[in-house]
Amino acid sequence: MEKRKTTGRKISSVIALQTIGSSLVISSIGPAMQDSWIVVIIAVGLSILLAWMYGALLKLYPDRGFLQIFQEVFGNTAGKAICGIYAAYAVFAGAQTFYIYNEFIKIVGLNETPQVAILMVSLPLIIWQVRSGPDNIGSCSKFLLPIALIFVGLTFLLGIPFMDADNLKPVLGSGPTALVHGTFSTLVAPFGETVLAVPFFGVADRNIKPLRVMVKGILIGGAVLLTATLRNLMILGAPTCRLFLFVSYDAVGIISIGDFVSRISVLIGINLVLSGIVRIDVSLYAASLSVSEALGTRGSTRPAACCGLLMVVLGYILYNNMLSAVDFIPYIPAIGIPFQFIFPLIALITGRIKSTRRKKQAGNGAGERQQCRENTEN
Amino acid sequence: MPDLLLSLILTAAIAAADFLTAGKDGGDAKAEKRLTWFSVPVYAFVIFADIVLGLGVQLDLGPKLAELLGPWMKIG
Repeated sequence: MEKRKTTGRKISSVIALQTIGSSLVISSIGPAMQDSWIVVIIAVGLSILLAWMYGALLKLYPDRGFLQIFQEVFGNTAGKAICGIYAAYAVFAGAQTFYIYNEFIKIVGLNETPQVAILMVSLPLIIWQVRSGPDNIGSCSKFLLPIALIFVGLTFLLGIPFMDADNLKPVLGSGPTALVHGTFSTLVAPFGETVLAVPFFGVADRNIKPLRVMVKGILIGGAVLLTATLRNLMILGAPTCRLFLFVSYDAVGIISIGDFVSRISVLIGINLVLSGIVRIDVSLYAASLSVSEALGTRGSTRPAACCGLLMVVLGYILYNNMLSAVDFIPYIPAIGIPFQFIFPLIALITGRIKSTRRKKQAGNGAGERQQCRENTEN
Repeated sequence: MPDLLLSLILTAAIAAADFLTAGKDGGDAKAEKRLTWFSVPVYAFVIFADIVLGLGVQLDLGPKLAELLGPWMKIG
C-alpha cells in the first residue's frame, strides 16, 4: 500500500522520539535512585544488543517485513497468531501511553476541559497520521526531534544554577541488586519498546542498514534520557523525584531566573506532548499492521481507526485515575518481555537453522547434479 | 470517557469516516471486506464500552490484571 520508501534518518528519529516520549509514561528515576543515570548508560549499551537481534532477523529475510518474518519462520497459521498477539501488545502499549497522555494534559493544563474534547482533536489526527503511512510519521518525527533536543538542552543549561552535584552521591551506593533491577526495567521499557518501531523497516529503503539506524535512534534517545535524568536528579534529588508523577515537568518548574525566565516547564510539556504523539503513532502503526498481517491483508493501515478507538477505550477500562495507571507501570516490562526478547530470539534461531539447512540442501543438490553430469560424460 | 454523548459522537464519526473511505485507495476488494468484518465488532465493543463508562461504571481492571500477573511479575 505504501508508495514512498522511508529513509533511515526518519526511522532513527521515530525511535529516538519514541524513547524520549517514554519519560511521559515511565519515571526515569527507578529503583537505582541516585544511580539512575548509570542505569540509563548500561541499558543503552544492552539495548544495542537487542537492536542487533532485530537487525539480524531483518537481514535474514531482507525482502520481508518484521511481522511477515514470523509467518515465514513459524508457518502461516502460527505466524498469523503471533501477529495477532503482537497487535494486542501494541494496542496495550498505546492504551497506556494514550491514557497517561490525556491525564497529563488534564492535570497540567486543562483541568476543566472534558477529556473527550482533547480526544476529539488528537485521535482523528493520530489516526490520519498512521493511515497516511509510516513515511508520514517519519517525516513528522524528523521535524520534531530537533525541537525536542533543543528544549531538553535548553532546560539543562538553564537548570545549572539550581543543580547540586551532591545529589548524585554516593555513586553506586544503591547496591548491585537495585542497579540490576533498574537496568533490566529500563532496558525493557523504554528501550525494548523499539520492537514496535521495527515494522517500519518493512517499507524502508533497501539500501539502509537496520542495525545502524536503530543504534542511531537508541543513542539519540538514550542521550536525551541521560540528560533529563541527570537534570532531574541534580535539581530535585532522587527521593524527591520519586514523589512526582511527571518528574521532568516538576523539576524544570523550579527553574526561574529573574522575571524573564520562569514557568519554563511549558517546554517540557510541549516535549512530552509531541513525543507522546509519536509514541502513540508507533504503537498504532504496529497494531494496525499486525492486524492486517493477521487477517492476510498485507500492509494495510486501515485498522488504525478501530485500533485507535480501542486504545482509548482500553485505557479507561484499565484505569480509574492517574494513580492506578502509575501503580501498573512496574508490570509493563513483564508484559513486554515475550514480544521484545522471546519471540524475536526464537524467530532468529529458527530462521538461522532453516537458512543453514536450505544452504546445505542447495549444496547437496549442486553436488548431485555435478556427479550426474560426470556420470553421463563418462 | 465519562462524557457519554461526546464519546459516542467521536466513535460514530471515526467509524463513519473509516467505512466511507474503505476501498477508495484502490486496495484489494476481498482484503477490504475482511478488514470491514474485523472492524464491525471492534466498533460495537467500543460503543458498548463508551456507554458503560459513560454511565459512570468504573471498571479499573488494571489493578485486577496486576493481581493476576502476580507480584513476581513486578519488575519496574
